[in-house]
Amino acid sequence: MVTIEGLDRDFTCDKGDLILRAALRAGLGFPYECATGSCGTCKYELLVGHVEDTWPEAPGIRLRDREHGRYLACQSKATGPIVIRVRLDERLRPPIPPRRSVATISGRIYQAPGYSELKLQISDEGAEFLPGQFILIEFPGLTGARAYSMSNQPNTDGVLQLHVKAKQEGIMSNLLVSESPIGTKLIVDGPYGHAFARLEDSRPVVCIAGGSGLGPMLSVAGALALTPLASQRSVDFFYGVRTPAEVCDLSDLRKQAEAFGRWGLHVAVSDKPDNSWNGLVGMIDQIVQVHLPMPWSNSLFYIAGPPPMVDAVVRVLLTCQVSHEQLIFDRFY
Amino acid sequence: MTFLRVCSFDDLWEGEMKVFTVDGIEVLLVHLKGGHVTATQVVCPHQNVELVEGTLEGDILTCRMHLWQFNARTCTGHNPTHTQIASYPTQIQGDEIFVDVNGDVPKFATP
Ligand SMILES: Cc1cc2nc3c(=O)[nH]c(=O)nc-3n(C[C@H](O)[C@H](O)[C@H](O)COP(=O)(O)OP(=O)(O)OC[C@H]3O[C@@H](n4cnc5c(N)ncnc54)[C@H](O)[C@@H]3O)c2cc1C
Ligand code: FES
Repeated sequence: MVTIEGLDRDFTCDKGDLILRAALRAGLGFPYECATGSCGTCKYELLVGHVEDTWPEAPGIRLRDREHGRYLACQSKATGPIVIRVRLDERLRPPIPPRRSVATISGRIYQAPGYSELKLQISDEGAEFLPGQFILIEFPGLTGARAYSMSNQPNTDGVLQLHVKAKQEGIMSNLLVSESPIGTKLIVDGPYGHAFARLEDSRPVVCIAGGSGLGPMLSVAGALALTPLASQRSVDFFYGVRTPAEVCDLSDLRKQAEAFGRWGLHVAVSDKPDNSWNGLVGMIDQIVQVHLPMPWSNSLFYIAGPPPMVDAVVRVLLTCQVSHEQLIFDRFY
Repeated sequence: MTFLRVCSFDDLWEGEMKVFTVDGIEVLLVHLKGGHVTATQVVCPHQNVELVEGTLEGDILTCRMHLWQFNARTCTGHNPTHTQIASYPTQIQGDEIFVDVNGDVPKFATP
């Protein structure tokens, strides 16, 4: 049983569930971002009782936090009744409470060296999520969960599609991209994440994806194309990778984009390519600055990718007078 | 008003920011150009992330998480503008910095 100081509602952690996940399952607006121990957003102060720290070396928590009795909710479990202090936020209440289920790797399409599009089949339910959200994956025998964003649309068939990039020496990403055979069973838990598509918002949309950030941007753009507003909408899609070989298949996106009133696709590589590449060259933040039609003051920006890429893009947008209210983004720690 | 000694300028150089615990309350001290010291809240008004982990460029303090920006001299929002951060009264006596930690409360962004 977990009690939040000043709140008249307790929640329970079933079968050693992590505190963050249990709070979200209970529908509470518990702050979080990565759900995997890296960002530090889910910190709370333990006032009464004991918790088990599932990843003491997590990058999201520092020595000074420890000294003040602070823990990461995404990396700790209650070992009995506890009382904690944390500031909940109504805006962060999960639109769909996350659930845990078994899934099977049912398909894999190699996209580029080190990139695969993966299909997971959930056993007992539909694939309920908002475009732009992610799930947490656990492999039997492997410590800790990893976050992966859906690249497809929510569906009743229970199919989750992910765009995964193999990280050098990364354990789970390599299992997913190539090593695990079709038929492998794993645990999926979700949906999570606040960077989901605001489909009823009619402003021009700009999607900016870096590397593996392509997945959620495909999902967001695909969802926008399905709305009744699509024919009146303007969408610019920026996609940056290092080399031409890394550019993944965009043919579905191109087809969906025919629904938009105005459409711009801007694919860029950052390493100096050979002569066979006739697209854009440069870091994606610079490409956005040069190629995004003005004005920017009335657009909604979705951004996904590795932290340095997201930071660079957000900084460029902020210096160009874009306000925070126009930004929706996730960093792939 | 009770001003309590927090530290001296030897502990907080120009352009530096640090968190101190004063009378059980945590405050962030920011030493700006021209010897101005701001005492403010530890956590960003937006979410649960400490401002001290962000960056200070001139008077502009940028939170590392969502890059919300604040003017650390005026304790107002720079982008977004509709926010503010706490401004605890400070006193400088010689080399020593004093703060009244009951002189304000942390601000949080409203929905
Ligand atoms: C919101 C979000 C969305 C993401 N979406 C995608 C996506 O769509 N596609 C994609 O390719 N990547 C995505 N990522 C990155 C992905 O989650 C992984 O970080 C990446 O694949 C590397 O994992 P790995 O196992 O290969 O690397 P490793 O280096 O083996 O593992 C790194 C990660 O594993 C976790 N971890 C490691 N040890 C422990 C432990 N002892 N206890 C608990 N946790 C531990 C931590 O989260 C750490 O960051 C996303 C990340 C985030 C935060
Ligand atoms: S949400 Fe727990 S560290 Fe990021």
